[in-house]
Amino acid sequence: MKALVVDDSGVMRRIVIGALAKADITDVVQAGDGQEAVAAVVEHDFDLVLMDWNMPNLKGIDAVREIRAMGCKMPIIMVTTEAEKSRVLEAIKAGANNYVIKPFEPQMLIDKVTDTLARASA
Amino acid sequence: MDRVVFERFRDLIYDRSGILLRDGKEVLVAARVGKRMRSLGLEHHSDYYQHVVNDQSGTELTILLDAISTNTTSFYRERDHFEQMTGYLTAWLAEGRTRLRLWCAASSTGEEPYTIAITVKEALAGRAVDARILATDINTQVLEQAQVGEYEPEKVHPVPPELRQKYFAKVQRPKGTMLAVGDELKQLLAFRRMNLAETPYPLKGPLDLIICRNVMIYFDNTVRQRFLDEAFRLLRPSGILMVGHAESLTGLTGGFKPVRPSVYIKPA
Repeated sequence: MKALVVDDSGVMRRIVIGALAKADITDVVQAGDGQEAVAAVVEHDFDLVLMDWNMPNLKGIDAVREIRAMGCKMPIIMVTTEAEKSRVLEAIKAGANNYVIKPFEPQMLIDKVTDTLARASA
Repeated sequence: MDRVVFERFRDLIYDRSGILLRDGKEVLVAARVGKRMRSLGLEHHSDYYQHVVNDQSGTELTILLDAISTNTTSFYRERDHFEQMTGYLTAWLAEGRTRLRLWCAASSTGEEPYTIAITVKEALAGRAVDARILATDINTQVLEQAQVGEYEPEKVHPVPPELRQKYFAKVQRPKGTMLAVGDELKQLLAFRRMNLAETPYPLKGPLDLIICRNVMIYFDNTVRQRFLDEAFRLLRPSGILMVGHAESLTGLTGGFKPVRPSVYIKPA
């Protein structure tokens, strides 16, 4: 199980990585913006992507679109402060599979990850 | 197809993919989009043009490009390139390189990237080296076929028998016996859709070798130059670019030096 954690905040990446470790996901690659995320997806085969929305260079939502346009089908979870329903719908339309609103309890993220992976393999 | 409509399709396709449809390709375009138009219940080519332009999601454009792009390929096509590739790989491994990155820029249905994977695997000869091959194409349908990696036995014929035995397994499918590429080749490869006309490419590099054969013939010099600039950026010093035998970089600017016809090096 290999995951990509995308956020322009190093602190937030550490929090997400810490939560993933509790779900036994320790093979993690980090990216600091959407462009880095897309480049990482070209390079590696990920089983899961956790994507922030507001980042420099390329926004998370556009990175999701690019990743889907490349033909990659791994589950993507948006992890963002964008809490409005229209935003959630926009992300789902772009190709995200699930949504976590910041700030979050680690257990909440773990549940979403487990749920998303279970649905993806079903 | 109406001349005016053809020109609109030609401009749209060039603008979005860099693929240049020369005059006289009206029949080809009409034939390729005809099937799609029937399934949409559209009667006129101009209606289909509007349908493509109106689709904000870009899905219909992808379907159009899938229909237009040609995909002639075979295992070991232009075989001497793979002999030269073996030479480069062997030399790099002898230098002690532990990371190899190759990019096949026109994957098509997978014959070329799997030929590269066999070449890499054989050159590695069991050495533990971090080797990866990126295979890209603009056509999503051929990429899906490539990822499945199953071929009719006659298609695999150009693969030498001992390598066929080593890397392919027989599988029974409704249409008969097929040869399936094994996991040890698939593990080396990543298949991704990429449009060579859209720069910068979402790659970081540095790459050791880029192979882009019989693609540039569909591009005009503007798009060719765009590709070459990106290839130059992504290759490491002494990295290799291979193009098709019928292609040449003559008349294009850039820092590449010819090693032999259709093989170029980025100077160290």
